[in-house]
Amino acid sequence: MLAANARVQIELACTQLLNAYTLAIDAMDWNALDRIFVPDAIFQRTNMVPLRGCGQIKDFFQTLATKRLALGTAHRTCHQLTTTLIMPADALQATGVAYVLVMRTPDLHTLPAPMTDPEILIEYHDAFRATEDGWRICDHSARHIFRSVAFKEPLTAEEAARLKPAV
Amino acid sequence: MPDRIARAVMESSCRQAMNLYLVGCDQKNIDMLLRAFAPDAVWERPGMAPMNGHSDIRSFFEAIYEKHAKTTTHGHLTRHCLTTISVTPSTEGHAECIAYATVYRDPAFNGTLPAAMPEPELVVEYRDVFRQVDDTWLIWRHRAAHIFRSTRWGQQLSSDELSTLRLASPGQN
Repeated sequence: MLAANARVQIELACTQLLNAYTLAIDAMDWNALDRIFVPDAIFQRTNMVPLRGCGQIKDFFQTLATKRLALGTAHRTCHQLTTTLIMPADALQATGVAYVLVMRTPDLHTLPAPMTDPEILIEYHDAFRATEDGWRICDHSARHIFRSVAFKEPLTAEEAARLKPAV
Repeated sequence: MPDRIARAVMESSCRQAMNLYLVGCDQKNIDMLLRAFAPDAVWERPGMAPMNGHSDIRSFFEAIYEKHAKTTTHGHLTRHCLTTISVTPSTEGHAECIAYATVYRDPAFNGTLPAAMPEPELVVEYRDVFRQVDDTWLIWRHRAAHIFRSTRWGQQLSSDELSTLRLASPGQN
């Protein structure tokens, strides 16, 4: 059984990873994902086949951003991490459940954007692993629990299939 | 353990207990949510008498899920989004917490995700007292007050149903 202070260190480290992940997505800082996921991470989103490897995860987000810029549908997002439950299994592994409210504005440059309702409530299920570089996400699953009719699917099946092979 | 580390452990344990309680509620997992509460916990909820201990809390949730099962196949789809959470030490072995949660609910969930995004049904303010039990912290006194409430909200159990559980507030029935 883990000592209380060891458990707390894991809870804080894993919670911080989820904060860093949501902030990286909002900042479109795909390189930050290297410090959040293990190189062979599995990444699953609603209505998509799993992505395998940090390289494929970064390619997905870059492809999405490029597509949106080309279509004139780029937007600023605000992923608000709310309920976050971290469950350490032992000194090297943990799992987590978290809820994220996503707000979106079509204007990338003007702040403040007009107040809007959350577009999606996403539930994350994560597995975390201790590595030589600190804790990292090794399996990430994002499931849409509530979704507004304003939501558009990010990539078509064909576009998703064109992603580079897993690293 | 130095004081500042003990305090960090206390704050983190209390936060995790709140998260465990809310995820347990949303997953309809009574065993899970009870792990957040001390065996002698007292829970005050709007419109009903306080629940005393695990047995009352379990009976309350079992009654709700049983009622939902009669009207919908999948029960309510609910997510409690915990936002502000402040934990401060009080007397020896106790801590106080104030937290806000925004609650989203689909009372007619058809089993297919995602459900349509509803407006928030509630902003709840929780006021909790935690008690240290061995090396962890558990909810010992739990009070939920509705700060903002949608007109869509309804009491989960009627006065008669609460009376059956001996949880009707003194003014009811």
